[in-house]
Amino acid sequence: MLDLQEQYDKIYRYCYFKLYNQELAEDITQETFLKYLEHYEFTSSETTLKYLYTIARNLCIDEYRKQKPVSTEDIAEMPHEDNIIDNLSIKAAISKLSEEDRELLLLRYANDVGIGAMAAIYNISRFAVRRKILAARKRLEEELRKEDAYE
Amino acid sequence: MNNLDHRIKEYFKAPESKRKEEFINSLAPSEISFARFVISQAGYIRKLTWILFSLVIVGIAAVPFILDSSVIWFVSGLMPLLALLMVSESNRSIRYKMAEIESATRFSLRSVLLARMVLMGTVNLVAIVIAIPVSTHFGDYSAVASGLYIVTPFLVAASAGLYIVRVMKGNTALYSVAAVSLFISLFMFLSRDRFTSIFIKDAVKYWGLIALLALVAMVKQTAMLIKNTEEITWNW
Amino acid sequence: MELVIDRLSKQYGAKIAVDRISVKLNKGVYGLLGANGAGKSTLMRMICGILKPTGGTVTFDGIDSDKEAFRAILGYLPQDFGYYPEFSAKDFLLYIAALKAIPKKEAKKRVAELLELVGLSDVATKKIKTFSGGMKQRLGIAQALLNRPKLLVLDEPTAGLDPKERVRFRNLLGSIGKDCIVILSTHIVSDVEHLSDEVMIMKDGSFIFQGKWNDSEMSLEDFYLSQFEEDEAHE
Repeated sequence: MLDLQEQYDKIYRYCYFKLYNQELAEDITQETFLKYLEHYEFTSSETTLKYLYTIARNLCIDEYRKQKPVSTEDIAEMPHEDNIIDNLSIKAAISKLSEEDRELLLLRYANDVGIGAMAAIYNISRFAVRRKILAARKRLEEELRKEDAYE
Repeated sequence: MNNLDHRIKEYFKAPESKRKEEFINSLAPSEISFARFVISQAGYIRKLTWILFSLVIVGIAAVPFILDSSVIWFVSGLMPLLALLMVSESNRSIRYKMAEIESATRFSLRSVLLARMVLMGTVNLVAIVIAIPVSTHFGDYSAVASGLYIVTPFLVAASAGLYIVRVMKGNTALYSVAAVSLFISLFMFLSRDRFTSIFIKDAVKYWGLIALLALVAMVKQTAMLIKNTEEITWNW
Repeated sequence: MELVIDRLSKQYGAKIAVDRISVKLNKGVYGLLGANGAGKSTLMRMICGILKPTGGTVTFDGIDSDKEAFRAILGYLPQDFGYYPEFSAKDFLLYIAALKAIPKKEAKKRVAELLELVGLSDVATKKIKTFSGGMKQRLGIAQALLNRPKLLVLDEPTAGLDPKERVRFRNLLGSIGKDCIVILSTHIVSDVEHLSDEVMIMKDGSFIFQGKWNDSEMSLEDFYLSQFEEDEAHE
């Protein structure tokens, strides 16, 4: 059950950073679990993670279609847990990244999703996952340099 | 590099979710089993019932030392009282107007009645199991005869009682059951001498037959009580 | 989340108490309005699966009303109910919680939550026999909510509530009605107007109206009263 609690938080986080709406993110999170549990058992395996994130992503995409897309400025403006001042530049930097890059970074660094699980989610090789993550990181570092250059 | 990892993680902090607890609770298959339920119902059987029951047991155990003979008639006279307690317990839902709420729950009124009957039945069985050897030991009759003379008044009173609470409504039902039980008790107390004279082989056969019929009747009435909970609740 | 009532009927000998009622309900609060004796309680009991219909069916998301799984998502407050004599408010709720198959630990938590919700926390250990009518009614509402029901059926829930309690009840319904199907019956028109999203008016065992009431042509009160006048005119 502890796993479930933690996984709820993670899927919720995933959904929040796609929809930028607390209520909606929670609705989608719950729907994700309900849909998953309709046919499968909750385990800590890669397959579970794959299905959960896939369902969540698809549900978020369905939501997108209903709403207007969120712009870069909107993302930068979003209510946020601001603990450290130098997060301002990271906020700006991350908001400049592509949706895919943001997703990768969230999965890897915020949700601690393993390389194997990520390979399952994206249906690519582990090698490709590492490559993508490195590339996203590089782009982030580039944006950060640009941000810092303004100061 | 580590610092960047950390900063990324910090960035992806979402506002606190609000409905997690509730949701997860709704998922967990947190239910109690029927067996647990029956056990929990034991706690709801009235103290008075337990007290009276204990007194009956004490009576059965003590009586041989008080009266020098004719223990069995006293014991068998007490049996209808146990039957009355059992019927009374099963009747509480209706008497206290809890039946409707109980019916709409997962276990339902049915299970409540079943639980009570099972509990009281078991407890009464214990009483009977104690009563038979005691009576046989201090009496002049065989274990079979003693057994029958104890069990029969119980079964007759119980089946009659269960039938009455099913067909009669309101509080009068229970008074009627009490009256019937009292009648059977007195019958056993008072006819002791007469019965001793009919104590030939055939009498045991007749008693056996009555006991069997009463047992069947009791089981049938119990089943009908549990199945037709609707009937007993709103045909007022 | 859908409750489907299909040609539901109840006949006692020659008397038809409920006459082939069909309706589909989704999330929200539905008011069942009708005079006493119009068949409301009979209908509600059949919806709850505690009274067997003489015809028709009631299903919730496909589950039939006589199944245990149906009762598992059901919360019911009857028009009149009693209590075992020595019960305190807490005892009562814990007893019902056991019948709703809620494990002890969770039950204790839930009971405390609900007592708070209906404003009976400070009398939790007091015996129910000391309660006022309104307090007992609030306790009844609390027991109906123990198992977080998806279908909440309340028979005359506002009876005996003072104005303050009514407001509290209205707020409570507002929040519950968002996530489940609530059916409440009453013979008070203003209750229906204030508490429910849609109304079903019952007369002589069938619905003479169901849906959102449009005030523009006639007020609900006037319409409802006119139905009675019709009755009187016939006599």
